[in-house]
Amino acid sequence: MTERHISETQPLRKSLLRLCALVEENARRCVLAIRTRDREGAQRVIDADHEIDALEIAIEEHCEEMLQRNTLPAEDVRLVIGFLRINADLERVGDLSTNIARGVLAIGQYEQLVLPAEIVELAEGTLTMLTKSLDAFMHMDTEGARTVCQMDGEVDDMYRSMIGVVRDRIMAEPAMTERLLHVLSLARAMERIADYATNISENVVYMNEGRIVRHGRMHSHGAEATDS
Amino acid sequence: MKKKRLFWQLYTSNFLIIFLALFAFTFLISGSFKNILFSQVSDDLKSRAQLLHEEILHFVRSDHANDLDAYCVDLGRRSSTRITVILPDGTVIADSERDPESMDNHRRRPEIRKAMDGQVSTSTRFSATLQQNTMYAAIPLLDRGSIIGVLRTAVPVREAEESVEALQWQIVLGGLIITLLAGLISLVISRRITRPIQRLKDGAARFAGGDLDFRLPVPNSEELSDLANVMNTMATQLQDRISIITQQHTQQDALLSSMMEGVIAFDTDERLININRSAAQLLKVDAEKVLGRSIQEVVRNVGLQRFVEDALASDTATEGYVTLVNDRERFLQVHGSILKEMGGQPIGLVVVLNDVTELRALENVRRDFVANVSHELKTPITSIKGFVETLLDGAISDREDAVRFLGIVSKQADRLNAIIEDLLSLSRIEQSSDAEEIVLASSSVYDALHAAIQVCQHDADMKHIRIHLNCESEITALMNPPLLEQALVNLISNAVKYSEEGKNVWVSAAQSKQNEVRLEIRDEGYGIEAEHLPRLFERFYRIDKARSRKLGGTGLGLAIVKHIAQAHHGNVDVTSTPGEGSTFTVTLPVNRGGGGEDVA
Ligand SMILES: Nc1ncnc2c1ncn2[C@@H]1O[C@H](COP(=O)(O)OP(=O)(O)OP(=O)(O)O)[C@@H](O)[C@H]1O
Ligand SMILES: [Mg+2]
Repeated sequence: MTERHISETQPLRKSLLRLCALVEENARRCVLAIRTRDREGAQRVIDADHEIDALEIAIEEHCEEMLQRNTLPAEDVRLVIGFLRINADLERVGDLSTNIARGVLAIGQYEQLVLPAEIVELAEGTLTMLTKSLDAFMHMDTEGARTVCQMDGEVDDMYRSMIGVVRDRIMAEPAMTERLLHVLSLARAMERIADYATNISENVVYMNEGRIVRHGRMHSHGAEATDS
Repeated sequence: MKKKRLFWQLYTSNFLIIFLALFAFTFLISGSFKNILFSQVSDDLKSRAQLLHEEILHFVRSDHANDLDAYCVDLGRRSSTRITVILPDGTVIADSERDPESMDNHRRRPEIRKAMDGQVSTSTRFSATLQQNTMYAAIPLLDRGSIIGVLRTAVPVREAEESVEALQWQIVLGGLIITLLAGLISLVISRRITRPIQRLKDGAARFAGGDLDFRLPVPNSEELSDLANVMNTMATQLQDRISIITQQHTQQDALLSSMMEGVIAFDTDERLININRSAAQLLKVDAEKVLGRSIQEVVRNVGLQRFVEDALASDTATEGYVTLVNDRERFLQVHGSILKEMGGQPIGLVVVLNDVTELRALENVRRDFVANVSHELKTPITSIKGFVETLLDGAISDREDAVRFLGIVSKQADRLNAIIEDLLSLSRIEQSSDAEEIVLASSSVYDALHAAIQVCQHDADMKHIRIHLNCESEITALMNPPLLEQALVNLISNAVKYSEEGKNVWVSAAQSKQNEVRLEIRDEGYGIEAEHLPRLFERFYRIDKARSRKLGGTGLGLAIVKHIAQAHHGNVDVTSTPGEGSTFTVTLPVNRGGGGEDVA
């Protein structure tokens, strides 16, 4: 990257890094809220989401404004397109965090419901992926981004075994079905956050190498995540 | 542009000088050499002519033309000189080389013309007769003052020319040798000049590479030795300065890294210019890698990012709170102050981070404690007050009611008493352990466990709970037996209290490390959810308030256990699985010094 290059896209990058911080903090609070069943923390997540939305819109407008300027060099165009995609992914992660927080509030009503240990594991795996993908973006680190893409499989496995655990428990205690379905939707949101983390990492590789890495995504939710 | 080597610079200039000198020298020398040679030849010719003058004059006067020619031929052969006699009208009357009849008129020849004017002169030119360069000398033949003819002598100048040429060749040859020599000398000189310069250069490169201990060798030439000395002094001064700077830097680093508070310095573009160890630990970043990066690229925390932006924008010191969300929430108190140059121009920002998480937690505990203690005391008092008032209002006359009410009053008074007892014993333990007043002695662990079980046996029997003791009698620990028994009673009675009927409680002790005994109380009771574990040992912390109060709990039992363990320089810990049971572990040192010192 040349000097001029950095300076032109730098403000945009700064805003995006701020969005990263907001989104990561919310995701972390979610995981914390799941672990400690902290309803106050969950409420904080929901309250902070409007800030994420507002920043996302501002960044999108900034990106479009830059792309409309025809004078933008090819290198920058790629960068801005990458920013645009990551921006959208981050916003979706924010939304999913809000969903999770709502789920935690809903589960909070059932004092006796013991959350399966697997959900905490899944949440932590997802969080690690998200953090690593944001790290990769922060440092434009292709290697780091690649490791995140490889982690996606693990989280998928955790999610699948999670579904198994919940199904077994529903069979064992049919009265708990409604509550356990909440748990299931938490898990699903987590798994999708992991997908967006993969998307972000792929975009980091794209920005660095100008190559689109989207290898065989078979799951429907994966495809959906890619499109948004 | 490619730099020329010194040798070539020296050599070309040397060569040019030598070449020019040689050229001028050759030109001058060969000129004057030729002049000398030619004037010799011309003098020679003239004197020969003068010698022959009388003889020839005689022949011409007597008009013996044929004799004259023969004479000239003879003379010419003997003196290897061409002799020609010409009449004033230019007709050749005698010549030693050719037949005078066949020769053209010589009046126009320059030397002849001069001679006709009465001068003696010479001239050099190509002779058609001799087919080579020839020098001529002509003198007038004077007969009583009038010119009656001209006598001309001539010799080829080839010899003289050859001598000059030979000389020129010698000079050129010498010149070539000198040029070669000059090259050699230039090489030597340039070597002599460049070698010390090369050494200086190498030395300077070492300086530049940071090897300031190195000293340049001093060359013999005055200019270069001055240069070397100056450079050596420079290196010394640099070294001094660098060591001062390094020292200041280490001091500063030591100062910063020994600080408990996190310190981060930013420049005006929000880029990190310094971060101390505490700050790096707090923010979980690598201090080496983050320097020069902007705050947004280092910490993903909006609160801190905003604080830095605002602090940089404001002119005065700023203060605020920032929450970090990691495995748990951390609260940081942050101070920002603008760094200013001498001139008052802002050059950056220093941010001091103070982790107030524990402080906040303590504050919360204290606030909760006051609220709890008031609440705990108020409940029995309200109840006592209510029943006493009812009694005063007339219920006292109904004996049956009065007895029932007084029974409740008595029970509530007992509860009040229990709470106050617990609070008092808690503060006693706290005070005496603060003042190191608790007497610790090596005593049998088995005895303590046994005594504690005995106290709880009655309650256990009531619930058909069996208490198993597993402890070798020779295990000892440093303890104050009555206090430790109190703690163990609290733990065992909890185990009994929070288990269903017919379960088991295991009490065991074993030496786990060199200087550490672990006492374990395990039950098969309700268990405790993970979220409660961190606060379990706080005063009045109860999981299920209703159940605990029904069972006569005050919520102070575990707080007392913790304090007693600490007073023993030991520790208490808990693991639990909801629905399966809990295990409380007390670790105590076996003897003084070391071991079990990891007081929470
Ligand atoms: N072995 C145990 N199993 C399950 N829960 C326990 C156990 N020990 C303690 N607890 C929980 O921890 C809380 C605090 O215990 P603590 O001993 O401090 O208070 P308490 O038993 O209510 O009152 P006290 O011991 O002062 O009479 C209890 O309310 C109980 O819910
Ligand atoms: Mg108790």
